[in-house]
Amino acid sequence: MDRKLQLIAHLYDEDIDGLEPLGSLLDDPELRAEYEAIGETRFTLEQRERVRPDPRLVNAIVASALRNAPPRPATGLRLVRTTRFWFPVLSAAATVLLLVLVNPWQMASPTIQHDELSVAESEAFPAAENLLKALPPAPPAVAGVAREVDTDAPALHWDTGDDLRHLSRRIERLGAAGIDEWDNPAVPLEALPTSAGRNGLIQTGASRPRK
Amino acid sequence: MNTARNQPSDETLVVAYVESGDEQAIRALVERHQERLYGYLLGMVRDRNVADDLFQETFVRVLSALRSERASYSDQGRFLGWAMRIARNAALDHLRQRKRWQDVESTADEDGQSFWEQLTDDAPPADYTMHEQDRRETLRACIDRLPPEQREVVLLRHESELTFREIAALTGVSINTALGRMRYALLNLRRMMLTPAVRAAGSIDNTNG
Repeated sequence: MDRKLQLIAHLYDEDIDGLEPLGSLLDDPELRAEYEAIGETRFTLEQRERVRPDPRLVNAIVASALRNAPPRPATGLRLVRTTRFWFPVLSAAATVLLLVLVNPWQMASPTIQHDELSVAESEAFPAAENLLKALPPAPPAVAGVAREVDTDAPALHWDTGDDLRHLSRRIERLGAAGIDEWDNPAVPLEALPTSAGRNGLIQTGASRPRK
Repeated sequence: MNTARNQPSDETLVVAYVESGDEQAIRALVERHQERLYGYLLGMVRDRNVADDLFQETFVRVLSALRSERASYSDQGRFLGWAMRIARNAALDHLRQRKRWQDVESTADEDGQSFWEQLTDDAPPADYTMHEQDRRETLRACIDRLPPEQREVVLLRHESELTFREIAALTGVSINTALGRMRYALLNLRRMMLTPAVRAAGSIDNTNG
């Protein structure tokens, strides 16, 4: 490419392969003088005010474009914009509705009469007597104990079948654990494993096992 | 051509208009390129009323082509270059109707150079300064007096902000020719601006302008 044309390419930062470095070109006095001259003119051109059409003309073009534009479907950007607008609104409304439905009593009057509350509690929790009826019958041993009880004796207010039920279950658990072998000698504490992995207790003052 | 990182691309705006008739998209597209297109058209025809008509006609053609032949648009590449081609054709049609555009180069002398390609060394020294306002007004008048092909390359580079590679493709010449026209345009502009005799007399026989 002619060296003078390369000046133009450098002046306008045109990306062209094979250009000589600008410094090399400017080593030539004639090229340097021309580069300075055209650079000044280019600077003057850059300072010109940009011109633009009347805004009414732009509006007329847009109006014409819309008259001839295809119909806007309920998809794409319009749907996105619609979704972006309504989604937060609907989400907020759904949240409020959910709170109302899930916690209706929170929306009721905070003042509740005591007798009303008692009624509510009684209705909320079934009578204890009804629970007893659902319990399984006592094992024979316990039942036998129960029979030995003088039924003619006046029923004490604390002697309820509930206690017998609980005792019966405990006896069953103990029996499963082999508690009927109480006559076996007890296991000395020294034989029990400790958390340190050693058997038996560590007497006070003994040296600790080194890790 | 995108103005900012967060601005949608020209292609995005085109799609939004073509597929959804998006008003904001088409307005953004027109406003983004209005200075580049209008500045070129006004510089070419040098009449604001005519430039307004051509500007509107350009976009009518652009939008019609987008709606009916969007596939061809995608093959033609960048929106601005494609729209500039339409604008240029509209401008040349107007100038040819008024016989103000020649499709051939200016008359050359025996050395193959026209008047505008013969640079004399009668310009004032480089340190000669002008008042800034005078400079701008003079510059506008001098641009109008350039030969059409040199005026056009100045407008395409400084108004439409096309690269010389794009200018060459648009005008159907080699990049060397485009650079050469720009070189002569700059040197002629400087000569006219700094030569009082040339500036005042208007002695340049520019029948093409």
